[in-house]
Amino acid sequence: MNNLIIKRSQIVRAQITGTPAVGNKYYFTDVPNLSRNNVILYGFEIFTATQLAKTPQNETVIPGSTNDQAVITWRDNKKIEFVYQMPIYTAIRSLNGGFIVLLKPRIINLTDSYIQLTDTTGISSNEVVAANIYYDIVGE
Amino acid sequence: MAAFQVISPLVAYLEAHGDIKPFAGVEGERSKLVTLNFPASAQNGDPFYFASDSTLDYNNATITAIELVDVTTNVISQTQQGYKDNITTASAAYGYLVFSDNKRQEIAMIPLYNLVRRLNSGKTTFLNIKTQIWQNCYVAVTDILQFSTGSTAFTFRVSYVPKY
Repeated sequence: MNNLIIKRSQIVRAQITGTPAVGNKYYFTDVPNLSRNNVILYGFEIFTATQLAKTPQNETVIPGSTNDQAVITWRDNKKIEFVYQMPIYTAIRSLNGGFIVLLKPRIINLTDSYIQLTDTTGISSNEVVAANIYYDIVGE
Repeated sequence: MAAFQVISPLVAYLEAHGDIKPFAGVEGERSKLVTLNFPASAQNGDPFYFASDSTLDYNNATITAIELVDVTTNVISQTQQGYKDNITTASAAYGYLVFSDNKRQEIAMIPLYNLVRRLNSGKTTFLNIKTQIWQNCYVAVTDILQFSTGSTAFTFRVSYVPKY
């Protein structure tokens, strides 16, 4: 069994803007140095407040008790949803034997990727779902 | 009859590109404990820089794994300011570690909770950091009130491969 090696990583987040609603797409916030379709994603993990209470931008992360109420979709630079509606619980490392989710490396479009809620109980407006993406830079 | 091992093409590809390795694999040729005290008047978001340690700079070492030693793993560490308690995992949720290079560009940003090995079924966090300047790397916190800044300190076990 293998586990991921971190070469580069960045904490990214999708904010629950407005009243939380089931099915809405909450897109990941832009990160300037990752916004040129220059990131080859090969793994990621999700954080709730149990792992990361607040983001470096001081946004409150959704409570740990809501880790079974959201799904994540990653889109690549060709608009293909290559990970579609994966439960975020599956991507929380400490709940899955310490393993980090591995992906076939792809160039992603961060701001096209999104979170959807399947239940809004316990989730408040302006909270975020945080993720750590593990990546290579195109051409590096 | 020889054992037959099935390896998926994706695993073989990721291994060949240095993206993964066996979770029970070698963490590094060497490891050392590094402590970090809170600075005076620490504020949310401030970078708490590590002291200079040239053995961990990129021209001397590749950092291959890192572990946050929490208070359950080891109660007390010896720091430059004397013996301090290690932080709790509840506090760890309010901090993150950043690796930076000689231009202070951020290479990797990892929440502290993730680095506590025992919370991740004993699996360490593998790294392949090759451009770091150790004194440019830092810890930052998002709520300083969650920490006992006078009596606790951060302790990391850093695994590395010397380049010479």
